[in-house]
Amino acid sequence: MTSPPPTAEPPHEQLVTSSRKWTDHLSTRVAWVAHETRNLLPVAVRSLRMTLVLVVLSGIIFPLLVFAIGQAAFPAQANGSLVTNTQGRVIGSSLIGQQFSQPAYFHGRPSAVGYNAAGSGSSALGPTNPHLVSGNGSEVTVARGATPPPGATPVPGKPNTYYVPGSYLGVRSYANQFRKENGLACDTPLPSDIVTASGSGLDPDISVEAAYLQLNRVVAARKALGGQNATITVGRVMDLIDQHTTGRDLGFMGEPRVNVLDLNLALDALYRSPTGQK
Amino acid sequence: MSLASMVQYALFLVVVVLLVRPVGIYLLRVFTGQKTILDRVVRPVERLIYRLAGIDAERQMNGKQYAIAFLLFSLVGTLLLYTILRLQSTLPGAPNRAYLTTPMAPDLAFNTAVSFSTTTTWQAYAGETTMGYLSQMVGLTAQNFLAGAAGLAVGVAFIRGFAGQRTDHLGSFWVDLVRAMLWVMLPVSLIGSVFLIWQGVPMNFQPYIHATTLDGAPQIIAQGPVAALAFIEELGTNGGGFLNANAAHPYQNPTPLTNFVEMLAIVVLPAALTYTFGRMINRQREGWLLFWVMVVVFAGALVLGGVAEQNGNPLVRNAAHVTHVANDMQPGGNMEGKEARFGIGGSVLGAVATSNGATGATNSSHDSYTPLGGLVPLANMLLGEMIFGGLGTGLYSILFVALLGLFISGLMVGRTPEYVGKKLGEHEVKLIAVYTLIGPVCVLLPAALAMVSSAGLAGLTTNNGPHGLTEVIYAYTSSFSNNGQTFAGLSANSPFYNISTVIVMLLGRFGLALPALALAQRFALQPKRELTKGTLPTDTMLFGAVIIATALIVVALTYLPAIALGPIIEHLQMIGH
Repeated sequence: MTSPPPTAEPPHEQLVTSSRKWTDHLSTRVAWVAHETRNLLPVAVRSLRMTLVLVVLSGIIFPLLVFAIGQAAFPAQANGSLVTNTQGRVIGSSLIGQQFSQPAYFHGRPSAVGYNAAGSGSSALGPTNPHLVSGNGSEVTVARGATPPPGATPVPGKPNTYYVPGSYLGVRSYANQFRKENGLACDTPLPSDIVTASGSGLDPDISVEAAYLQLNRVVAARKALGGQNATITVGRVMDLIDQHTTGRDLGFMGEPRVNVLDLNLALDALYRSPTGQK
Repeated sequence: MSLASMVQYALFLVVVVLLVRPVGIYLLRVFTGQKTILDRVVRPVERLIYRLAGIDAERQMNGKQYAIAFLLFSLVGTLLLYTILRLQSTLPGAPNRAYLTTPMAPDLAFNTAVSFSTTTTWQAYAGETTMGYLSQMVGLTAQNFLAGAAGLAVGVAFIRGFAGQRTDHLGSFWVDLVRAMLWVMLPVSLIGSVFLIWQGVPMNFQPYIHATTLDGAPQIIAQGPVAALAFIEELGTNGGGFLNANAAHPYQNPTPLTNFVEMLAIVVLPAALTYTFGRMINRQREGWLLFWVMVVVFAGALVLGGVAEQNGNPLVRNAAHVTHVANDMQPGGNMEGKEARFGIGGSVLGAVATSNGATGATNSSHDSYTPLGGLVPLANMLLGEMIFGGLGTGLYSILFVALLGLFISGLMVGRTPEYVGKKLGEHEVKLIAVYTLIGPVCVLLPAALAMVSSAGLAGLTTNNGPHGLTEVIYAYTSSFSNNGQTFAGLSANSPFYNISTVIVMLLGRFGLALPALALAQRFALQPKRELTKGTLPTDTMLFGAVIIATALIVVALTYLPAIALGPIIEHLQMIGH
């Protein structure tokens, strides 16, 4: 009777077997990766060719076509809806808000970017951020007798401490300023747009109410200028506001609003520019 | 909420409802190769493109081949865009070069390249001070088209998985891509861009304009080929703006009418795909059910956002004594960061459409929304942008949620879950689990990392406290859902945010698209089972409720702690003062 073959392989045999398996496995892996890569290469080439063709179509031909149609059909809008004065100088764009500080003009909304139209942006202040109410200025303490920073105001009760206003003054300051300029009582409710910064920082519009609240101040300032401006009446400017009020688009989209630059231009056209530059 | 806002919301949804069928039929004809009215013009171009790119249009792809083509196409697009951006300072085509003060550093260029090729269009830069016109056109505008069309192609392949029987063919990525471009994106954008120019969006190559204002001060006004980008960024559900303020900028969104149309451009194609889906699987009722689920949740978000923003911020009301009730003379509500022409209604419509529609083109500063108002777009993105959603991606997002709901319901009643004749087996459920779990990992982990690292906290330059946390969660949610909108107070142009958001954007794009294609492949291989009495019906209002409940439960269980620490605490702080 022959003994049955040993069931267990000698240890070294086992090692060899398993290591052969391991190298086999590796070489299959390598072959698989090589095979897959060979398969990928033509797809990559097709991707590259397709990308280039579609980029030419959508990044060059398409914009140039839109450019050509735009310049031919709507040249004024395509070139930025610019507004020029009688001498042909560009004074802005009717779509882009600008800073008005003279009392003879209607004023726009606060801007987080100072109406710098080479940029744009909002204050990005969160609803509970204290800067939203009080502004993002800061208190600076200087050495005794040193000159305070430009534009700074002394903080009451704190010697040598000055408040340096930031880029955003805060809704409280904007509201106070608006009430003061327009001689409004401190309990006059204000429309929310006139004390808040817009999303773009370049909002060309204000609400109708915000225009009406400025009416008396603008009329008084224009009267004080004399000359043709002295003939101004509240009723006439009220008509101008109404003429420059745009209702909701198609009756239901967005809000009624007044374009500040257009309204001020209409004032100047009727009564001469307050700076006399015409 | 004012009556005018309500009318605007309602009419917006009415227009969407009216457009779903005709647009859905058109998409069906385009992607099944049937005759359309554009064929005569576009077919020769299509053939030319196949010849130039070396494509065999007849060759069908299985799920893996489709995925590889999609991946490599995205990779090439990313590398090309990266190259263009890095070479910007040496290439011509930047008449605005004098104003480009932000350097195109490698991390910013890489972030931007990935961001645009994944349709995220997260922007860590301001367009006016960073991008030359050539980069905006050949780089960004083109990538808006390409990435959007690629997303639509994947969405269509996903539908074919449900429509197919015993096949591993999901169509050809190249054919779907080219057809999406030629029949949908390019012609619609051409009309849309010209419409925008008519309304006031610039389209020129002039350097910035130097004006002297009425007050006598100098004002420099950015220009450029804005209109070519401003429409496709919405239609392709990308959202990367030409100008920093994006759709809030009067040059990108000059009137309430353009706002309405831009928001429609985001929503209509993803909405119509539900109809295309119903037609392609021969179960029209399932398609309509998905659509109406979307409408209901969308309307709910409009109401929540509209009420929160119209109620406004009591801190502002008390400090400045402002009116918060709207009337025909003034918009009322929380107007910080909003444009006067849009008011509360147009802004909230924009917030809800862009956050659901995977589009970063915000028309107001979401960072300055009231805590609950800002929670609405955040929650829309956390839900997985399944309400209309990104172009092509929205459909598989809602279907993943529907399948998850079906699986859970099936477990509860002890039936094998089946959807439109396709059985949900072990492998399918695993893919759904991957889809469900990848979101929390990609949002919460990096947000936590940002909160404990000085590099992450350094981004909180504008706001801090609970609002700062919300900003960071918003950033990763937006990156993951390939949306790109931001709470802009976060200073995100730093290596930490540029690199971490890139990783999250890539996982959000491919970590969801690849399981979707794998699932489509598995479904396509299955035979279509007949409906029996044992099948759970998936075309009823009850199933619609299951979809919504599943979405809410998944989000609530996962993100509630983070939401409680962010917007909810902030809301209590706001009303507690």
